[in-house]
Amino acid sequence: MLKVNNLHVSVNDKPVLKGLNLEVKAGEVHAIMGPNGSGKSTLSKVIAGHPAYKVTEGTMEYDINFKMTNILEMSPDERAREGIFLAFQYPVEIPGVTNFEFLKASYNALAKQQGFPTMDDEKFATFVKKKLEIVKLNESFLHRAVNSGFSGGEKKKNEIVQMAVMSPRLCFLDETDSGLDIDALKVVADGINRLRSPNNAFVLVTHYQRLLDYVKPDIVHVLSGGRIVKSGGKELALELEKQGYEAYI
Amino acid sequence: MFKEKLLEQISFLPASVSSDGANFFRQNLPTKKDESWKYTDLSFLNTEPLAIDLQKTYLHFDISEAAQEVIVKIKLGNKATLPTTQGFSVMEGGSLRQKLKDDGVSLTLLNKTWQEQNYFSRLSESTVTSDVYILFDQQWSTEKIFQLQWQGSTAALAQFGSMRVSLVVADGVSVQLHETFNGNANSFLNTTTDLYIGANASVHLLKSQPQQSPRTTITTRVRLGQASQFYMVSFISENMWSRHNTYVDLSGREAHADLKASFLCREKEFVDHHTYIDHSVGYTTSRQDYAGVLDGRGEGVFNGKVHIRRDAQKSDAEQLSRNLLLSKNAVANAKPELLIDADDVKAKHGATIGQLDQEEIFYMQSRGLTAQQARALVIKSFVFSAADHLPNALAQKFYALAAPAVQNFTEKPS
Ligand SMILES: Nc1ncnc2c1ncn2[C@@H]1O[C@H](COP(=O)(O)OP(=O)(O)OP(=O)(O)O)[C@@H](O)[C@H]1O
Ligand SMILES: [Mg+2]
Repeated sequence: MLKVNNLHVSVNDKPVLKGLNLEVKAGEVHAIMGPNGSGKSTLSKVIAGHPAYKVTEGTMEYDINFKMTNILEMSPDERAREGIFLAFQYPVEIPGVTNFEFLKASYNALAKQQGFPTMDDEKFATFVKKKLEIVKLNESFLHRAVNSGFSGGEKKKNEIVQMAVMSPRLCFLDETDSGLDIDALKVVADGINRLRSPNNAFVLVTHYQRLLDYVKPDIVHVLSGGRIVKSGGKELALELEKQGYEAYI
Repeated sequence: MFKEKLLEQISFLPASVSSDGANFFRQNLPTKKDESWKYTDLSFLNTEPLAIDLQKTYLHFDISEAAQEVIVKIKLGNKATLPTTQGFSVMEGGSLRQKLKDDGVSLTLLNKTWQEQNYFSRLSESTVTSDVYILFDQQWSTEKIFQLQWQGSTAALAQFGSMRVSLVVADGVSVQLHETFNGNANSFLNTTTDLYIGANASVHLLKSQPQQSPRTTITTRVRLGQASQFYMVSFISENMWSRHNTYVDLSGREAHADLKASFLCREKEFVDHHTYIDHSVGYTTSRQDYAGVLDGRGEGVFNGKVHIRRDAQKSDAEQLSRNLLLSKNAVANAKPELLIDADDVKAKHGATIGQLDQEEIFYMQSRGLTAQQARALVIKSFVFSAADHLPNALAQKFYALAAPAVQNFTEKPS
């Protein structure tokens, strides 16, 4: 579904990713762990198409209509409409725009692209309330401005709501577990498990083994110094928790 | 201190100005040296061929009714009988005073003269032959919208037209008003609307200018009685030039005024809001929120003054000017001012000028919205926030005007 080869990325002319390789297949769950500042969020942003992250070398291909397609020239919204989703490490506040309006605009943009009927306010209200239930967010969050004044945990839950509304094929979750209390972590993990299917794939960027107790990864990677330096099964995460990253820096 | 210097210099209009009204008008125009016209370029009134007739004329009223609406068109015309329908009557000042006296209604609000004036409001007072009042009484239906449509010149030759009307809202009556300013785009329309809001009465006023309407100087003066409420929303888009003077006299205890505006400005459009809120008695509250979106060479001005007088203890005032600048050539001038003579009051003011946030746009794009849809969504919510306090029927009118305007504005950036 996703194939990243020898990816080099710079931010403000500073090289951050230095020859990263990653392949994700439909139905898989990957975990990416690694020290602070190693480039995990940079990888997430560059896959979502953030304009500040410049690809200087390498390729990035994604399955569109059963064909691996170069997506580097695609805008962030084109990628999103093709099913690439990024749950932000730091979700952005949009004062003035209500969550409801935002989610509806997002749903309808995808529906148009994918040939589904769009929804009016009434239909969408019924639809979106079910999505809020997945992460146990109260309906009142629909009428508040996007992420404005949300607590850290509420913002993360709101990312999962957006993911549920968009039903993407490739989900990059950048530290969605950070800042969640123990109950919320279970709720969010449960939400991810419910959205899992043979047709989609998850990449979980995390610092903690705990999330992986609930969402079992097929492959765990260590990202360090801008490259994937080790990949393995879920036991790698346990090992990292014990030993730290020293061996990989 | 807020008085317009200019007015002290001219003893307003000479008995006969018909012959050289244009000269008189032009010679006395405010200039940029006058503090309250500093950002307002009136030079086109001097240079453009504009038929200026300052002869005294009558106001002509044309009234029609629709389902939940009364539509009143006002233009300059010949003397005609003044209409009266259920819930409101149009009458001259003398008759109004007599009627109120007969009904045992206090004339306090009406009897105080307006401290707040400007060159154009004086003009509109002086060129109309008689004072005309519209009185809303207890029969007026709260559900109805009263549309006041000012009709400027439709003649081929651009004209300067000047009119004034007063609205009196009886105690305890609620009125929804929609005021529009119409006419040829190359003409100039100058209006003054004086509002007297009785005790426990309330007024919601939506002011809007159709696209391509005349350049305007619009003065709205509001005097509020005890525990009365006034909510105003101005919406402006695709208008070449407009200057709005809003004066609010909070003269009754617990009176509340809430002024909001949103405007979209691009190319060389100019929108200027000057407000003056006078808290003269205690326990009065005021809120102001002026929001402008400026693109191209658009220019927006907000100059807001709040005066809390010595006797206005326990008053509470807030004013905010917000601007979204979409181009580097757009200009926002914001000058909120507080003048406070009382000690036990709350007052707050602020001004923000910002650009569209690129991280916000990226976030929305990552959810499938195009950059343009993302921009449009941010601008729409910025503009629509002005309608927050409008009752449903008026809010619907606002949305009907603002939605296509925002769409047009965001689809064709200048
Ligand atoms: N917009 C930016 N401007 C300047 N430097 C940046 C920018 N984004 C990332 N960097 C730098 O790139 C490096 C990688 O950052 P990144 O956010 O990808 O790390 P991370 O692995 O996600 O770290 P963490 O675990 O702390 O979230 C860091 O040194 C960071 O300072
Ligand atoms: Mg990170």
